[in-house]
Amino acid sequence: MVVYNLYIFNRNGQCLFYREWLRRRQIKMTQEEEFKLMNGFIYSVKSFVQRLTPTDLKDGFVSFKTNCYKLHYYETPTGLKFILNTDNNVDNIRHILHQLYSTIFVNYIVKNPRYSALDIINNDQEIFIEKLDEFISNLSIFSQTNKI
Amino acid sequence: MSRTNVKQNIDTRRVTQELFTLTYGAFVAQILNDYEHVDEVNKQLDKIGYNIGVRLIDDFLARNPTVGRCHDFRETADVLAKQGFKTYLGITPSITNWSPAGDEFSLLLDGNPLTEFVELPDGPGQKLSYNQMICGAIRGALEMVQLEVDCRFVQDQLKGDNTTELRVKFLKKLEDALPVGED
Amino acid sequence: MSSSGYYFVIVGHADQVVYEIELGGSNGQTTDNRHLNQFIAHAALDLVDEAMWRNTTTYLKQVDKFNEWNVSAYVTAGGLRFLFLYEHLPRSGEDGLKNFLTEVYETYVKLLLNPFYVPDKPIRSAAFDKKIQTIARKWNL
Repeated sequence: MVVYNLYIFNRNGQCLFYREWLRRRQIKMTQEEEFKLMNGFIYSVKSFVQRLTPTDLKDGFVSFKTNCYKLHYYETPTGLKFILNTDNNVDNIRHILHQLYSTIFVNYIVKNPRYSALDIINNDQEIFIEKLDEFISNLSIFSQTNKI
Repeated sequence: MSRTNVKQNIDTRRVTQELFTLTYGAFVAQILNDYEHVDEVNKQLDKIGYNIGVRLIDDFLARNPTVGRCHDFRETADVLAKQGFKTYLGITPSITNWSPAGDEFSLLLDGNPLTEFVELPDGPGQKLSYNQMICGAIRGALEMVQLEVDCRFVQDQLKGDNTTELRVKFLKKLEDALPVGED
Repeated sequence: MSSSGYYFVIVGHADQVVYEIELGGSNGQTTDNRHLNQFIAHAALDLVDEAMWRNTTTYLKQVDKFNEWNVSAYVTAGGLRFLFLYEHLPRSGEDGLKNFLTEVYETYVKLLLNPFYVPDKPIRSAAFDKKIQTIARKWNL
């Protein structure tokens, strides 16, 4: 199992943070465009899922799969969106994304008085990045292939 | 790092109530010294509370993974009183005086830890809304979950009233921002 | 001071009056004696300061006598002096006086925890007044 990359968006659709662990293919657009595309896509899928659901939705949109990767989605009631791409062998990891939010994001970003709720997370948030890497690399879904 | 581990960490790092109460007291007294008008002090306390609220809500949700979006305002009131106040102030206010439309309620604060030992100063100081920070925090926290509310004290034991009553009024539901170019 | 009256004063670090109250006695004579009371209390301060270093306790018992008035003192850990002027000990006796002063000290500490009270400034709280009177009644002053 492989973890590819992570996006964190705030409720205004701004990308607060991006990190990749494995990304072999280069895409032909700027990072800014990529974030915009991702946000717009998530927004559409979310509303699509909500509108067309045949029964009452519990968790809403959780993940989708293509033939080569799986996108996991977790949104907090405060509108923070966590998007993690993995390979196809990964099951539902909603609880892991919640854990990432509650133990890493809240502790090292929200509780940092220097950070304000709408700031983009810069590379100087070293502790956050370090803890995030530690968290991800200790996951069972983060296998050896990632470490090449 | 497991979830229970984090919880333990939080619990062992408690401070005594007196330290908390005195810190808040010293803090309010200092702002009262620094600003000339009591109204301005109330405004500042509200602002500080708001800034706390917008952060606190994330901490609250992190600790209470079962809390999701509320279906109605009554549920919000319940979570606020029974979980929010309980977690951060150690008290559980009672919810009363619902407006007929169900968009406004009162919280009766019993034994507010912030106001222990406090006696308001004479003169203009009597107009000080000592707990205004709580209002700001509620407003900030609810705003982050897309609820715009108005929050104020209508009765205050520090001002000689029988109870301390906090009124929360629902104003509107805030919508998620649309991505650029989407409809 | 009427024969059954008492005068209680809290003296701050700069020998200023922080709080004073007349207890017991009839109300008619209060204003006449205020200066005299302060004068006696002030005269006793030096003796309090001396006694304070000879004792390890906070309650110093009687430290001074001026004509028919006795002065007992209590010194807090923070260096505040409580003086108590009387002609005769209250009905509750020496112990009653000691308990009175100890309880007043406890009340004072609570006041000190009020963020709006500045140490050494005159105490103007009505609630404090009330509490002192309650304690005084409790110990038959």
